[in-house]
Amino acid sequence: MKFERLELENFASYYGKHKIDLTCTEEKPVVVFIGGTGYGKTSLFDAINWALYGSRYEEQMVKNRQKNIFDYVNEKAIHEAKENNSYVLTSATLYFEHDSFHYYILQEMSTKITINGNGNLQYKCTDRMTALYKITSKGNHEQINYNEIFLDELLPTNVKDYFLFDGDRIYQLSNPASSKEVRDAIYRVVDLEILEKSIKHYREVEKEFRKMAKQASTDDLKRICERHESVVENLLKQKEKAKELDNELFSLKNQILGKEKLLQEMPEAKELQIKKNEMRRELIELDERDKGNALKMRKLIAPAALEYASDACGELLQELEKQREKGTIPQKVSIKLLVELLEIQECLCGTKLTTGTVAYNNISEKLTRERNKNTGEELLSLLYKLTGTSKEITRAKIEMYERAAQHDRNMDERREIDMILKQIDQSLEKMPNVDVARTQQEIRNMSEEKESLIRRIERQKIEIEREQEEIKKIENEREELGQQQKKALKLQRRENLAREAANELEKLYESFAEESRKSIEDLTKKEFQNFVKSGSGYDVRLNKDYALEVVDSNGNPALSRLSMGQSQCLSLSFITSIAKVSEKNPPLVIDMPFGRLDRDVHKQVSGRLTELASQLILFLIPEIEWNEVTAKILQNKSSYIYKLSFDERTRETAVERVC
Amino acid sequence: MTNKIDLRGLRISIDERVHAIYEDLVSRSSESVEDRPFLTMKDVFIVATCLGSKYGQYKELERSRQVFNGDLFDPDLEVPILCAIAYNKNKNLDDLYDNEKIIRHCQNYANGGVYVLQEKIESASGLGKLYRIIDIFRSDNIAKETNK
Repeated sequence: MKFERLELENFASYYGKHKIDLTCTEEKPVVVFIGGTGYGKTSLFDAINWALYGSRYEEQMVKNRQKNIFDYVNEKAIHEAKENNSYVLTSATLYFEHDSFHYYILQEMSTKITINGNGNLQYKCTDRMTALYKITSKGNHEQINYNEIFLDELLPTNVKDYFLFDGDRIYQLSNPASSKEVRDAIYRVVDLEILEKSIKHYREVEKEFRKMAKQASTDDLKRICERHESVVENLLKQKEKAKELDNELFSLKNQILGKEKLLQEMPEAKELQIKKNEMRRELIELDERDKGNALKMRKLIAPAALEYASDACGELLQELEKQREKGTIPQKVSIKLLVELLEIQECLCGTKLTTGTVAYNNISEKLTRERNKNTGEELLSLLYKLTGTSKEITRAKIEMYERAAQHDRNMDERREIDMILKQIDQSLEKMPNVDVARTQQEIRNMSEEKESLIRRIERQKIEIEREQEEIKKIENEREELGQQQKKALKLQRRENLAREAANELEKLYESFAEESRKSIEDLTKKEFQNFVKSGSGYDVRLNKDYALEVVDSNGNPALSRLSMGQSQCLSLSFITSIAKVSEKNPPLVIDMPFGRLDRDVHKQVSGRLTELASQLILFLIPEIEWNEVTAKILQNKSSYIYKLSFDERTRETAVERVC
Repeated sequence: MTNKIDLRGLRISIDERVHAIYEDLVSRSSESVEDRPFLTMKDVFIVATCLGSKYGQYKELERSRQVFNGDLFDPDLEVPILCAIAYNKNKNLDDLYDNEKIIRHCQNYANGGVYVLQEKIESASGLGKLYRIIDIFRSDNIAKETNK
């Protein structure tokens, strides 16, 4: 999709009709709007959003910015309508090209202005229209359905925030408390929702076949089917509950991170909070080490336990040694002798052993019999192997006990760190600064809640496993009984197939989400270094909880050490990575992208932004964002540069093309 | 009767009634390492066989259930020990020329030994079955013993 033109009528500070050309060439993909604070930059940004998403964007504005659509009806037009007792027509029309076709979406609203008893203005929407038109090759305008399917193809509402956004939002994304938003973004842009829907579909099919199998069964099988249905339904409920608990935990962790960040920004608490973070990191590392140790220990249990068989080994070794001394193992002598006799063709008694004679045949048969008999070779080999086991078992035992001792040391260290953490918490709670003490108290309450939630999640997991085992048993029984009722069995098998498909999709869902997380992590790292040269000393990670992390060359957390500009670049890197991974290529519309950036990064960011999308629309503040550095880069890349001027007296914005 | 001690290709069974005990001890990705002290069913079988042999618990399988393949046994470490355990049942070297007999004796020792293992774990104190088992090994003093 590429925007072509925006037409406004009585929208915000844009009085009357305005036409703004947005068409871009491949070489010049940028359109710039330059305007001071309050000049109408954000209104243009809102107009594009409103044109595309209509009432859904209105709801979002009420929710996020406490603004309703009447706030966008032009003041001068209101005044005139009031005077003339007429209506105000407010509209935004966005022309765009998508897949070689041209379209436009029109949002139009008619507002009646009245004055209530207190002398205040009252607005009433008397007409509201949303229409989508396709411009045919003959130049006709055909109205087509404006619906979610069409919008989803252009740019789904749930991901639009990553293509149409403002500078503040960029700043917030790198905040540790935004991990939920980051996770949601990844899930949305890589279309995981589609997989989710497919899983739901298969679960429905599974349920349907289960019901049909129950209906087709009789007697004992029917009773088993009823039991099966009830346990399966219960399992699904338990899984749903587990998911809710996981989300609750995720959100609680996020809140704790937010509060801790707040604490770290308070001068009195900063040092202690940093120390706490370090200690907690040490604790995580220690737990990881201990887990690795336990995994290795687990491998040693079986070989070390062979020691319990030492008496049995001793007995066998003794017996084998005895047999060896007696010469019964190995029994090579007789075979060797018989072979030699046949070779020299003479028996020990002097009888000639000519080929084909009775004597020769007798000796040959004896040789074959001997060869087929146990020679004791295998027992000799067992003797050698058994002798060697002792060394292996001892090695396993020694390592196992060393690792157990290491575990004990780890636990001592853990207790020490725990104690330090408790002391830090107590010190924070006792701080004279009320804000610090209160925030710490809140963190403590939330952490307790988190612990209790984790316990509930663990219990839930156990419950789910129990249900799964129960289902397995019932299914075996059902299958057995089903052998006598073929129709029911056929339906059971279809149900099983649907379940397997849903289970496989669930696995796919998890691995796809993880793959996407990794791809975005890699791209974010790369983009961050492209945006900020000083970023090469940092490693950017997107951890398993979807929080953006930055570590310095020593492996220490460095997110809080990033400058405001670097943080913003980090968010931008993330957003652009999301855009790349999504493989959608809509225009990027950014309101005040450089607002919080240092001047020295303006050059890199403005240069980089132009390469990120096939169309880039920027709303910039003069001097601060549109300065000699950005102007030099963007001028050559811009198809249009517009200047917004605002008349304080008439409170109107005028759009003037300067380039 | 065969000339070669070779447990490969043979299916190893446990009693249906002890299957739950095995399952409870074997690793699952979702659970902590400490509470699932064994990596595989084969590992539980080995420990149970050794304990069965040590404490003379020989119990025939009533309803057998195949759980793994004999290929999983380490031929240089586990197979010789299993042979020693099997030999010890009748003290007859001929038993070692019958691979199925070796397996049968071991299965029966494991069937008795798994209850010993379960009881030991339950009566031990401490957090995590993995560490309990190591404590059991310590208290049974297996560290100081060596093969005779």
